[in-house]
Amino acid sequence: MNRVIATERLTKIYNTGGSEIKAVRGVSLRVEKGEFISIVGHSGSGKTTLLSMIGGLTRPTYGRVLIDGVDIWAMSDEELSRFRNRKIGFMFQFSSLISTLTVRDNMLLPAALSGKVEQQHEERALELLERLGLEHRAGAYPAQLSGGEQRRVAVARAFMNRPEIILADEPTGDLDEESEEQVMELLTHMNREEGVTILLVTHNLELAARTRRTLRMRRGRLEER
Amino acid sequence: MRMSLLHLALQNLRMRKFRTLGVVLAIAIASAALFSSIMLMKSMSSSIELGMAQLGADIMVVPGDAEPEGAILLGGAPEWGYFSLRYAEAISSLEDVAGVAPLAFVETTEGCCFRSGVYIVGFDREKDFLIKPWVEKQVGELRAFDAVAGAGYDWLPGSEVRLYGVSFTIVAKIPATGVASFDRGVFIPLDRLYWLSKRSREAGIAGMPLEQGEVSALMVRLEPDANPVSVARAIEFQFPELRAVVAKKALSNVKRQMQVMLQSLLALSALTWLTAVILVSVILSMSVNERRREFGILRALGATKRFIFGQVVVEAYLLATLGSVLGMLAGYTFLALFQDVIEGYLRMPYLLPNELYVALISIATIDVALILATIASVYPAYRSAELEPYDAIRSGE
Ligand SMILES: Nc1ncnc2c1ncn2[C@@H]1O[C@H](COP(=O)(O)OP(=O)(O)O)[C@@H](O)[C@H]1O
Ligand SMILES: [Mg+2]
Repeated sequence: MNRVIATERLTKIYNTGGSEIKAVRGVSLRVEKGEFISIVGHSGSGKTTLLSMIGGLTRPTYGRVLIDGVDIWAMSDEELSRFRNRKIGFMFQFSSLISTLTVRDNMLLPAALSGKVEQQHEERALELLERLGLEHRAGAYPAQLSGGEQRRVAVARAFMNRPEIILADEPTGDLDEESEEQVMELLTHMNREEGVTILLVTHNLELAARTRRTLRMRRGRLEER
Repeated sequence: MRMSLLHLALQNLRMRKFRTLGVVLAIAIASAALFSSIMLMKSMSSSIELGMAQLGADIMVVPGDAEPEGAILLGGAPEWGYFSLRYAEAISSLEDVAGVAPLAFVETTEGCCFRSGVYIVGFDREKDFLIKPWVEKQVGELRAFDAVAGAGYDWLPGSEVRLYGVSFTIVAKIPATGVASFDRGVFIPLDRLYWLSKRSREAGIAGMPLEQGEVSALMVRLEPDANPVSVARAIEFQFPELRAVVAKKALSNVKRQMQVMLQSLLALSALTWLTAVILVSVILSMSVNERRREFGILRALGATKRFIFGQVVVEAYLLATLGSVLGMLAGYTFLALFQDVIEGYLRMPYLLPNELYVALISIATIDVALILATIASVYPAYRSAELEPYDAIRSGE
């Protein structure tokens, strides 16, 4: 097995109005290729901050993030952007569609940002939307969708560029059971069939129980369960 | 490729209409101000370059109570009264005078003719040196009911115009002079004009006040080395009831006045640009703040800092170009549509510059708008690009 993600004493300290918040404290995490890991923990325990440092969205205060052995925070902006575009699929806690673009164009964004949109991208977008039962909404704008539908489009979009790693931050947060199941099935499918490595942050212990390995975040520290 | 920087920018402009409208309007107003000031100045200066002096008249003699110099030389309506043709004899016998060409102006009134507000200009078949050269070049000799048109009309040779119940055929055209009464004139021989005037009175058509032997102005041409100022003085000394306007001197006065006007117009448009820069900066900053989350998402999906920077600047350029073009169209329409009103207000005629000049002025105006867009957008663009992606995404939550 080879190591996809390794963090070394990863730390994030926020300075807000004179007081320091230690959001993540010295987390050293190792993830093998093809693992499906769930992370649970109270709100405010640092789960999102950890994920966003691993994905190249928040610069750590200390520590390193190695993806396939490469220190991502030593990269130039161009390299890091390319890394996010090609290797990582994000699912955010908050709604993350571009409101001025249709569902279809939102889906095509990762391809467009990597260069050129081709027929195969259009096909993949449609296929992913179908998996989540959203193919009929391709022409709609985000404001015309329900919160759950928006969430599922964002989930589908994360798979557009066939990423090696999925960083999913409470992707089923406000979904009904049926949609939650659809998303979970998609994640499981991608993990099993395509070997995608997945870090899933969730409040739902039932969902966490369905993953091979569950970690708990507590006041900025990560513990095995 | 459908999805691109441009597509994203265009979608954003389309979907956020209010903001788009605000910026476009600010830039359009500033562009309209700049464009029409330059156009107006260019128009007026071409009028001056082309004026009476260009036609070969050194001095223009008018009644003593006539209007100021600039208005006489360039102005629209010769509103002063007629005076006797007999002065022409006396003036042509003065020293250094090479020729005296009498002109009589009659403005057509409502209902008398094919159109009102046209000047019928009578010129002397023998003595004239202003119109005759153009006639000779184009048709040789005028027949009984032939007329010559000013440059302000699109008439083709051969078209008919009705003047006081008589039909005239346009056979020639004189080039643009920048003198309103010339450019909107229909020229016929002076003796024909007297005949027409008499006939109109006898027939009881809207009365033409011109009497046989009266003129509106005497155009004086001097010998090559003569001093126009001293000849003008000599004329006014001998005939205190007349006024002799030296073309060159009057023009330089007018030019000075124009200079002042140009400066205030440019100052005014500089002010509108300053306002526009501030307004557009504020609107862009606000809009960029609103869109932090969107930029964060784009970054997460793989957009570089440069892409975000470009996104903001390209949008500003699109808005600037659109605003500028709309502003110039509005400015041009205004100048063309209200030419009469503006001429009346400035007491100066103007000729809209030719296509080349319009193109040059347009390019200059768009350039200024793009510079404005750059100034207003670089800082917001930089700030947006430098946002920490995740901070941007969670803003507003
Ligand atoms: N940009 C920020 N500025 C200041 N404090 C922050 C910022 N982001 C997160 N925090 C703080 O860091 C801590 C961890 O937050 P987060 O990683 O979002 O936790 P979780 O995702 O587990 O709820 C919280 O106390 C939160 O208030
Ligand atoms: Mg969180």
